[in-house]
Amino acid sequence: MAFFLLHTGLFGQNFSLSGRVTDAATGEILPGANVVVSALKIGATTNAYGHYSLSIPKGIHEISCSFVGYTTQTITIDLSQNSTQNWSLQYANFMTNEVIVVAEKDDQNVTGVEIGTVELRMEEVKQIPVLMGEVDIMKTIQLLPGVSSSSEGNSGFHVRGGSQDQNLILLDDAVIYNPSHLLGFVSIFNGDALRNAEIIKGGIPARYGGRISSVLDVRMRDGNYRDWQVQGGIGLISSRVLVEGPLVPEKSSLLFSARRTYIDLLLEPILDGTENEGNSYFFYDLNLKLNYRLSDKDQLFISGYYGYDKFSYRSPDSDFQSDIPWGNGMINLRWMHLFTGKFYINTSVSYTDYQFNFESSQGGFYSSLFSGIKDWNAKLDANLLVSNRQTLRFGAQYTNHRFSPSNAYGRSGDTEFVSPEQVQVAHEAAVYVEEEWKIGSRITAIAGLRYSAFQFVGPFERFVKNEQGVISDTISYSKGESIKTYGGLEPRVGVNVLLTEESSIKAGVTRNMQYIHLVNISNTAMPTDLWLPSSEIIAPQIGWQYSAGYFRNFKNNLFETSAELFYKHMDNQIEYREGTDISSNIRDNPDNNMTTGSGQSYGFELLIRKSKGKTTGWIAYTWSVSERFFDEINKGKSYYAPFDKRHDLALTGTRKLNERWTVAAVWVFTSGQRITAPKSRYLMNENIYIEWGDRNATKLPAYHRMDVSATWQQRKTSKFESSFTFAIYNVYNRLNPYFVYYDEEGALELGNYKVTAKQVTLFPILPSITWNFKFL
Amino acid sequence: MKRKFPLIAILFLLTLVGCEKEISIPAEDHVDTLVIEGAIELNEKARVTVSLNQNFYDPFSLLNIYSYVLTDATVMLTDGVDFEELKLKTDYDYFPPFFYESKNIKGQPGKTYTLTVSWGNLNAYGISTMPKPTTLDSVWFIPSEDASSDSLGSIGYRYADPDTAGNNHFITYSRDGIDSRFYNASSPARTDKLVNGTTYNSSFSRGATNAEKALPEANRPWDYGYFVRGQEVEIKWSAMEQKTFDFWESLGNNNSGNILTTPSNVKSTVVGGFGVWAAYAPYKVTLVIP
Repeated sequence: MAFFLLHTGLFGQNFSLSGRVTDAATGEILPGANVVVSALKIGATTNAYGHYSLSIPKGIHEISCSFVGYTTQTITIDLSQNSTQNWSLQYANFMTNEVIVVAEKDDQNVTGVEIGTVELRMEEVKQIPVLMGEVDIMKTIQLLPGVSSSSEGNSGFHVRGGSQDQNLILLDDAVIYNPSHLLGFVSIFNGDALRNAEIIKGGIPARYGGRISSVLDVRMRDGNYRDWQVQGGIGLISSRVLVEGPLVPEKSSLLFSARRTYIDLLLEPILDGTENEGNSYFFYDLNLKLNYRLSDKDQLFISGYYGYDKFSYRSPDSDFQSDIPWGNGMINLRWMHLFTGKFYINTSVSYTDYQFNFESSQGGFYSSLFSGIKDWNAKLDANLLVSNRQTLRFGAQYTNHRFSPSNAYGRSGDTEFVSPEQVQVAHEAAVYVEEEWKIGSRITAIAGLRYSAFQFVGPFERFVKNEQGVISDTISYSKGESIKTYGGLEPRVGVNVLLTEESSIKAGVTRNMQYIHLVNISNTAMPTDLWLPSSEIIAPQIGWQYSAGYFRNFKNNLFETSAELFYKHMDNQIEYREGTDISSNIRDNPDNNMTTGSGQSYGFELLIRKSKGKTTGWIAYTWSVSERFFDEINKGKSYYAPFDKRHDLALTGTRKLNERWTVAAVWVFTSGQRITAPKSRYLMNENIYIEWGDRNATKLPAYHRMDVSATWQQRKTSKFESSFTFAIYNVYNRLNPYFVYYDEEGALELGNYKVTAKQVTLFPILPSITWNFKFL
Repeated sequence: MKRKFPLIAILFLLTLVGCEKEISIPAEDHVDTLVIEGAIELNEKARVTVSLNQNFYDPFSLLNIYSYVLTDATVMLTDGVDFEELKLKTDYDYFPPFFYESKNIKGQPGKTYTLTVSWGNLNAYGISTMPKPTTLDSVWFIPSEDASSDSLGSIGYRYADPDTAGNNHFITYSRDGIDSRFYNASSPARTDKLVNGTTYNSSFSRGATNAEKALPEANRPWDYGYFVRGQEVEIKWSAMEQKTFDFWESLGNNNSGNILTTPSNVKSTVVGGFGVWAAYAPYKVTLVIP
């Protein structure tokens, strides 16, 4: 704790200069902008709320404000008291050579204390070719080192060998539990409504908690404070529209976006009258952002998201039919208050709701399976600029979780089968303190300490099983009764040693605790996956991560490079016991069917990135190993995680040819997906059955794919602009395996029984066209 | 009542856009393991088939099927009092047709039966206790709403489940004049996990025999999967242990591999081998479908 108390009194002679940086055209804030006093070699970067704060000696100073893609502004001020200076920057044109590369170095890659952190701006994301023309930040982050997809086209991702549930996904500070539409092929994030995203793979600061592998912090745009605008796009599988504008000019803005697929509408006339009539799929989502600048010191934000998916299946061979609706809802109210130029707080209250339902009927039997999670969250984050060398952050957080892990209902004729409603309630709370400190001219350190606690409470019924696995007893807990409490310290430490102006080494150690678990039915992300709280049976996940890296920029920060090493140990991982499946959870506590183990992952990552100029892009390579150790799985032998990929390479490039045309390409190569292969077969019940070999011991052929796109900007008018994006996914039609199954033909009695392994390729070459428009 | 979770719906969506091709995936080297399928029923002799597992991709023909089946194993059975070696028999109503049968030991409720099998240096054993049989309240015919004729349908049953959990049953049937033996109903293994202590109605359909499944779709009989009005159906409602239910359930989950599930091995009830050794206590009832 001494670290936090070592505040030097440097600001005795200084005054604060603070304010926000906004886009001159829209009034929207610009996080990540630099405000620099060159002569003093001090500067600050605007935070996620567009706010900056500097401590500057009394006197006359020349101060510059810059942001990639915007024209730099320089002013001279005579500072004799604490002052506010807001900046309004003119958009130059992203990725043209006319962009004034900032006078001061954009050297965050080298000088920032963050390790394993990459920020992506939506302008960058929108240029990258994607599946079926759907701009998708989740797909783009999978092109970064250390991040891999759970399966082709899937929004689910794994960071440094961790499971999907270990990623904290935030949309404007609110937790998103399932970021997927269309069974994972499209993420819930509508690119038009987003401003930027940051992924933190290692060295997670103490202000973030609840997950052990990464943080994906996605920020929505505020909306235009000056003019009403409408923009949208018509794509291959969905269309979208966004409306934004001032409710009170310069004070309050509104942004609303909507997106809907039309797969169901396209399929309906084709399937009508065929045996597949009634099969359909659709999703829609809505985003809302409302801001109100109450004063120079107070601002209110309301962010909302609602998304809904529904998949309907009607069997052509029988009367089996099912409907699978699922969706996320989120609303967040945030108040930002500046006490002084150096001290501000953010207070927020949010509600998150994720629900999944599976309804089916056949032969007069109707069944319904429901699961979900609802959170109420309150959070306070404070930020104090102690001096230009020291920033102190502290805060507290409370979440009320209500899990519905597995509830079932069945009806056959007049007979009903109802599983007792299982709602598992838990309280989660945390406090943290964190300090970033520049020690001398070459060392920057960040140290944080978080204490988190979790309490699983009643009402709850624990089903107790006997030796045969049959429920033989029930333990009942009353409402509010404490069933199990966990807690622990989560230290986070990072250091940056600047070797030269353009190079540094960084290292970090973090301990993270995660009190909730996602249990997967298979190796890919599915809405059927269940969220479970820690309980008296399953303990919280604990992750230790050690990382270190060398960071080097070239050509005045035009090229950023990094090489990072990491090792991660994960305790209290859970899996279904072998041979159990999701139906085992009905009229049972799902955690009764889980088994606990541990995991580890290690590897190194290389990144070469160019973010400015006519040509931008990056090369990302990861070598890694991810292993799991469970006494009850794979006969107690260690095995590779299903997403273990020894090599993972991504090349991303965008080139602006002229004012009208921009082209882009992506090439990815990864080691083949791991699967469990058969070992032998045997006769049983007059059929052939399989003895499966070691879990995930077999690798499928390597995965590689190239995507290309071209964006054709139409001639702008004062009122309207539009562009076409032509894209080809998997341009050389590589038939990558999505999954493998074993096809049986013939019959034993006839002597023509044959089994062959078959791979299913989901996405061959797929062209797409999207028309984007904007009314100005 | 036990129903499979119908993930087939999700698979459908994937196959809408997917294309497939044959691929070569090496199988791990296998280890010779005894495979046992044995049962003893109420007042019946024990019946045990013994075979060996095979390489996964080995070609299969009527000629080499007999390399699976062991006809020279030593199979011993005891009920705690008597002890005997089972003798090899042949019955071409079954596939494979070779099995070992007890001579004197017959199934009785409450007795525990231990089976041991030896072949070469391979050994396996299984233990099973026979539950008491439980009766069905009633059975009846349910005409199908979807079949081509209202003469086709399934069989409904009413059962009063005792308060104690873990009452599991296995359903088989035999149609008089058609079937020469009992066949498994569709989803034959039933548990009271969801209906413990209640009196409930449920149903089962006929399913299809392996011979019927092997036929091309166009050549399948019109009553494929259904019972037919006019048939006299003998039903066995056999009580069984929890581990036997777990075996049958896991047999259903021993899928051929897909993206939606993790491959899982069968939960054998025998130690040292694969398979099942189970005691069943059937309640028999005959339904003449009107």
